[in-house]
Amino acid sequence: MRTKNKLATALALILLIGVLGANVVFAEGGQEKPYLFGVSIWADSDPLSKKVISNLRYAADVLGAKVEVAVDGFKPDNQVSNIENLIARGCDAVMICNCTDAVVPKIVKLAEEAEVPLALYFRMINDPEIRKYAESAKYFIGNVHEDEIAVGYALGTAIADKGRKNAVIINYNKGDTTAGNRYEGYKKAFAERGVKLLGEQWDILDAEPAVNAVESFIAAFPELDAIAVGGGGGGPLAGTIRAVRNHNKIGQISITASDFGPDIEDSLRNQEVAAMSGGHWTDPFFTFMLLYNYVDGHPLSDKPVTITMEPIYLTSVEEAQQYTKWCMDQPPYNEEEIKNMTVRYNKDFTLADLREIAAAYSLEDVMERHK
Amino acid sequence: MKGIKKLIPYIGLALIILLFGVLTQGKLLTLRNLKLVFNQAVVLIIASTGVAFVMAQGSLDLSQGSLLGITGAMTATAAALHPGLALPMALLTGFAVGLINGSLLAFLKIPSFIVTLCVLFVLRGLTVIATHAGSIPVPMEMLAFDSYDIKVTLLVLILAGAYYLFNYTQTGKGMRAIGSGEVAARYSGVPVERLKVTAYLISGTLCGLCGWLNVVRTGAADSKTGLLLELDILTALVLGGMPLTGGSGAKLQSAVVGGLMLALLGNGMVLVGIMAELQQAVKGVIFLLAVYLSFERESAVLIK
Repeated sequence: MRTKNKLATALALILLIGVLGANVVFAEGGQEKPYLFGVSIWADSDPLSKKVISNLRYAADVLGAKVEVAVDGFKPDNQVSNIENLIARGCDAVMICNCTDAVVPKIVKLAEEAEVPLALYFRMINDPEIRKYAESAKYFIGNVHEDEIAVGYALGTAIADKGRKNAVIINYNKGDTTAGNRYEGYKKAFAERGVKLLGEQWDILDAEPAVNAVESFIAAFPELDAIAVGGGGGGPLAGTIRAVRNHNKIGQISITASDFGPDIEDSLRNQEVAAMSGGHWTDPFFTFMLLYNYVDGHPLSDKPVTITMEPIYLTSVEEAQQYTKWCMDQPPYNEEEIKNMTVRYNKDFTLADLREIAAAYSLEDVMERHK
Repeated sequence: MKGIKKLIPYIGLALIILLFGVLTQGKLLTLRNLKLVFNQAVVLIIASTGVAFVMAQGSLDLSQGSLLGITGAMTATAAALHPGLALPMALLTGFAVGLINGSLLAFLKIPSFIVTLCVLFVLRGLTVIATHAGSIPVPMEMLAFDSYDIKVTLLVLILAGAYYLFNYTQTGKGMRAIGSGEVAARYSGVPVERLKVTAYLISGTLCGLCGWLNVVRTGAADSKTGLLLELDILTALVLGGMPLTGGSGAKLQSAVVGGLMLALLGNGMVLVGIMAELQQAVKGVIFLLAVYLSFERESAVLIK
């Protein structure tokens, strides 16, 4: 008992000294520290998330900044914890691909309390009340996203153009704005072009559950001739292709997908995929540029900014080869171009310029600039 | 040797504080970060406190993660009707599931491992249905309940009440007696079935409260909410020194010490910048180490 008391006293002392002394003993020196940007992301191992992270790290490196990544698995409680932790880590700004509108008020509140700028990537806010709340917050800088209904519509049209009549949709989280908007786009195209929607499966974020879902659909619907993969970072597409291949249905079932898979060229060459949209990992890059300018003392706007981008659509092996060469093997924006997107290096840079650059993003645009 | 074993959780806690205190250059111990650790640990500590009553009897409750999910979904659904209905609905859901768990164990004599594992699957399915495989938002005004004052008050009240119940009442003593030996406890006049149900009622109701706390913290109930919480609870309790076999060695403070250890460990690893995947591996290794150091091999019996 005596030992226990001594230990308890020692522990209390350690804690007390730590709490009181932490800020004094380990106080930061006068050196200028690089800006630290916190990124909460759904995963860090699928093709899309890997590219998002590497592209952000490249941009941060060019600007002498650092990026801290935290994986949230698209769970609201993890997303809240990640934002708390990233702020505690000392991030100068945080960005997140929120899994639902519902989590936005909480993370905006956390950013407000900590006075740390926050921005969303890949996400628009559908709920008008939540959007109003976020946009009235001082530290909500804005969001960058694609027109996801248009994405779903374009890919749904591609299915119809192939003459397919019976489709299913594999999608990730229900309640997620991006997944929901792509779904709406697909449904609109299917309704207009007479494609029957046989079934849908949600909550698919990885390859394995996608394999199971697709195999069930193939067993249940012999007439199935098209599968629309709503996204999920490339993993669900890889699983879908595997399942279709396992059942020797390549060529008989057309697959479309948002978020490129790991083998874009092979997928198109082997006719495993009819059309894909992707390459939109530049979307978080523009979110990062918004935040960088803000943190650097040159906010591009005094109001929250929304930037809408277009993804890249690939339908042929040639396009895929060009995409790999110009967008994957080299960054779509080089060192000079990145620096020119900051007021620090380009005093005349404005929000209109950033919008223009984002709007112009396409395979042709990248090729034109870097040829 | 036994005395040292009892001190292992406290030594572990001190080591974690020291290690990450140094590695994070003191960031771990700033007041702001400690508030954050508390914020992230409070659900785990409260849920672990409830499960401590179950584990004291030598049983397990593996349904906690799914119970957190379904209480969250029920809370959000009730909150849509009226925010005032959210907390009663959460507590009621937790109580009902606790009653089912306890009754299946006590009266149908199905081992707790099997009962709560089956309930875990049932509740997860119901959560997916209730949330339409997505998430349900709660009214924004409910975020106001996510305050330190409320959490601190709740935690203090719960810990004080649980400590008294666990250590100073026939209920708590009876539960530990069941863990030490069910047959002997029965012969001693301990109402075994009633106490088994009571333990699950406590654990279920406290988990219901955690469901409410989780929803007001995030602003949404999600189909994935609470995934693997049961393993975090088990890890926290074992790290805190709770014997897997229950009995007289069971201590309620295991929930607090273990919950804090796990929260500090998680927070420390994030502050240091350890990769998310590696964090899981580190937790697994530490759990294994804790079981190795604290497991009473000579008195081990099958988990009831």
